Amino acid sequence: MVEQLDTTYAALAHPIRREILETLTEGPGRVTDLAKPFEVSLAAVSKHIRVLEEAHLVNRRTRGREHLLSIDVRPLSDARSWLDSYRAFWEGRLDALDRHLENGG
Amino acid sequence: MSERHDAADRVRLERLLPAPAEDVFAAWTDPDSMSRWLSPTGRAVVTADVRVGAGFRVLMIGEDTEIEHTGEYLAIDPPRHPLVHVAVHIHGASPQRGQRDPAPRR
Repeated sequence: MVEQLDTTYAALAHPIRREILETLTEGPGRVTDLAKPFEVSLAAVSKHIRVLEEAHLVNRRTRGREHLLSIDVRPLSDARSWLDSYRAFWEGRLDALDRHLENGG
Repeated sequence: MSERHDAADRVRLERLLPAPAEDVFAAWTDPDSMSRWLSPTGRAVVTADVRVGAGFRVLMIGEDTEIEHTGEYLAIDPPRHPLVHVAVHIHGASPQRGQRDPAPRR
């Protein structure tokens, strides 16, 4: 679980990858179509897609010569839950800080 | 610095604390004060190097777990800036499980 979180965050740490994921939330897409909006080469975009696949954030299906990608939200929701629980933890710390200061610091 | 990390792996919290600026400043920079609120277990070992670019380390001690957090002081400007700007980096696993994880994580 811990290693997957690191992989998920590393995969999200690039604007092109985030934009690809954003597009895929609307539905599956072909690699060639997903690459179109970007100024970098198809090869470069393919590398980003490979990172997303290795992070299990996208799945690839081949349909003849077409490669169709779809998003897998499970790693994202795991990451989200982890972040949420971390946020809750630090909100608790700030509550404790509030009480500490109330008691004269 | 925090700019090199993308928002996907950061949590940002803000809290308005109704207390004198010096008290809030001490709460983030004086190890004795810090040890009293930073650890959910109430037990902590804290060291702090109060300079920009340096930071603090808090070892939160539980029954059978220890979780270390380190924080970096991004800006320090008493008494004008009542709040020390802190970025906290987590070493160790999730706060609920408390397992040891050797790889630092931000």
